[in-house]
Amino acid sequence: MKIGEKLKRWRDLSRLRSRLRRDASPSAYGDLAERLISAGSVEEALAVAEEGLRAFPDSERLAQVRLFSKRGRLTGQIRRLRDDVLRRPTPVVYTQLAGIYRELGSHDEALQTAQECAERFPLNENPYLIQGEIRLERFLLDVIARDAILAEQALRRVTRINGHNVKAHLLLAELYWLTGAVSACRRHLRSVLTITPTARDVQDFMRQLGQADAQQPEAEEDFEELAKRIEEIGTFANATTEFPGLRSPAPGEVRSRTRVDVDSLKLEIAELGHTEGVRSSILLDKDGEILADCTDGMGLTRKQFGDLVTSVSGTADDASRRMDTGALVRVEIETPAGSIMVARVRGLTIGMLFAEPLRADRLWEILQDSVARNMSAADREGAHA
Amino acid sequence: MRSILRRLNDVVGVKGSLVLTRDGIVVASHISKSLSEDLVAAMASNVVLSTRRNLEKYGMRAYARITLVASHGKMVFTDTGPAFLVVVMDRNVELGPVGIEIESAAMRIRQVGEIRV
Repeated sequence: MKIGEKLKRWRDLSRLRSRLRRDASPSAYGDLAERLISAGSVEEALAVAEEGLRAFPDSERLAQVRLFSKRGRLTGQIRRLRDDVLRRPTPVVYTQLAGIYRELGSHDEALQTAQECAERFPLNENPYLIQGEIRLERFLLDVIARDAILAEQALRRVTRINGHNVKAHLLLAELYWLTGAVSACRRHLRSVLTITPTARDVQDFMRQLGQADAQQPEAEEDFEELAKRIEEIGTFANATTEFPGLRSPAPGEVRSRTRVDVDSLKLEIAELGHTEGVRSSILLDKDGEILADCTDGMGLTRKQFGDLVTSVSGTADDASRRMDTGALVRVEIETPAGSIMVARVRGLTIGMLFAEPLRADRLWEILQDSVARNMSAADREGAHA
Repeated sequence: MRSILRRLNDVVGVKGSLVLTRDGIVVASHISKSLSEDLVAAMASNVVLSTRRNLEKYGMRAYARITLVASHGKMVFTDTGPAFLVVVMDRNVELGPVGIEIESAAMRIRQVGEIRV
């Protein structure tokens, strides 16, 4: 490479790094990570993408960069393990393969691999543990009852196969804690302490739980009912941050621990209405009430646009839940007269009516940056704002 | 029609696709084992019909494409003239490149012409 080219690349990267320091946003992280990949620094790009995802766990672009960076490293391993699955399948091989799929963020493939393993080796606990972990992770991310129910079934199966599986007991306890089934949570934490009596964080938590329980005794309830109620209200019964855990939080959990500053987001969404190409913008709360809007006054009224956004988002969210693809992130409808984008963020709904010269991918990037600027940690609070 | 869908399903990350009429009746489908064909058909039919109804209510014309992104998957519904092409994808799929494949499949379906159910 010529010196001139090297210098240009170095200048480019240092410009992107200082932009990131000045104004950290998903697009700033994404630009730097993509430029690093094109410069051949894949490991550094992965580090930037992971740092960005810690700050902005919703960013699709950063997730793609992370996937790209990891895929190169893991493709060889996947090929080898797939080969092993065909020639000499063992639960260990299946577990390793599912683990790599999880690392790549391919939950579906990980679940499918675990299912295949469970069919071949029904008395092995590992596939059920994987299913339980993934479903619990999804429950933390989307607050969908079905995930909680499937997680519970899988983890209970693990404890039936091996009553000494600490991880399964701890995950079950966490699941019960989130849904408000405190007695069941305590029961599984007691099992954890029977197997590992020196687990100090569990001991401390049990002590706290004992005090809380003395003030508020509760009866055992049907788990499915509890999970459905949590889905309805969209908030966990108890804070995730208080629970002692073996695992480090997945990106989705980081997401569930952040909340949106609604007041400043209202201003941003109204401001977005003045962007070239945007005809209407609207921000709705959980009940469909308009929090902020901006319209050019040439098309739909604010009430009409609000109603349209509410029904489109309802239909799309229902479809994604029924298909077991999680909660709705966004939906775009392209019509000959322009496009509609509806995005869901922590119980809020954002609607945009736009046309040329604004493109959907650009608008989505602007929206993600706007939302990311208005996120803040919700320490010690119940998750989803 | 099935061969078009089969080819589309060979694209990495595509889990299934189907063609349904504007009234929500399935014409052809090619769905992977991990998905239930009936469920996909019911969901697709509901999305296509509800969205059309919603847009008509507010005086908006028909739509060319709906892209639905959820936390663990993506779905694209494309107008192909007499019918809709519905594609279900993994969440890691990049919509740009796959979008080209979907558009070319939709074009081939348009060329098939009349659809009899």
